[in-house]
Amino acid sequence: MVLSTSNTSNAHEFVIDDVISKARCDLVYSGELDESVLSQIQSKWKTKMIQAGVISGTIETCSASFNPSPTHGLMMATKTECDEFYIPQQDGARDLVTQPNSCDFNDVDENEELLNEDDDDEEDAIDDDDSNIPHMVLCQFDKVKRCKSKWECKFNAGIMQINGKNVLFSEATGDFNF
Amino acid sequence: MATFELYRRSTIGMCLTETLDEMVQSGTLSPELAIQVLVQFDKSMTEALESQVKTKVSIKGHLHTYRFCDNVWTFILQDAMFKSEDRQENVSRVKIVACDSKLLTQ
Repeated sequence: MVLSTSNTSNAHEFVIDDVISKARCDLVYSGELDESVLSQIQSKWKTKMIQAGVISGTIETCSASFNPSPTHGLMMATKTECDEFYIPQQDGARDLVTQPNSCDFNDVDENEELLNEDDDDEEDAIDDDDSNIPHMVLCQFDKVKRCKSKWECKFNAGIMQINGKNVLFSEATGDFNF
Repeated sequence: MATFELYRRSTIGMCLTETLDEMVQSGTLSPELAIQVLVQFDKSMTEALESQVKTKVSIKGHLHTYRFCDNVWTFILQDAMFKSEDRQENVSRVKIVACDSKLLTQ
């Protein structure tokens, strides 16, 4: 059996509708954004979601302009709270991210390289593996507690991307052994 | 309202980012407006997770790596098990990225 994904589809539809309607209120009515551009955002976004198998629906004809290998220039250009969020999946792309206050662990490793060459190999291997893990959970934490080798965590508002499925959760408990 | 950019890395967030990126590259959309749409996505995604989702999950596994930086926890689990009601998914390796929920209420 697989985890339920029906609520996920509904929540995704909610997000698309909410973003489009709020953008209409904030940007179209103020004259900053053209309604036709907004509907283009909506249809392209939905098309990509359908192609990714996250929502169901029919792909509209205007999706002909879909580019299967888009660049991520914009994502790189946006200000980030922490680079950790933005380590991109693509090779080489992270070279574009340059922020002085970042906590990119690759930067940390580079510093360590100078100070402690013996540690390099293992650290680098972990970081490489890290960015290649296909399964990911994006969430918030309420509590993270450790007692000896046992970790107890409370998470909420999460998106799980595991085994090719998107599953959303409101709460999650984590019990880990280190 | 404070928001996290964390969710932009999800499938839905990546789909929107790619869409906006293509439209900025083609000159259809200005980068400033694209960023405003992304910020709206941050808000809408957070709201959806709070109001539209009821699922509770339990996660168990062997903790391979942990780190805490800039109020973000990152966990790499091995042999992890995700359980929700009567259903279950197992993965050999999973990465959990978690922001501090308290930052949203400040």
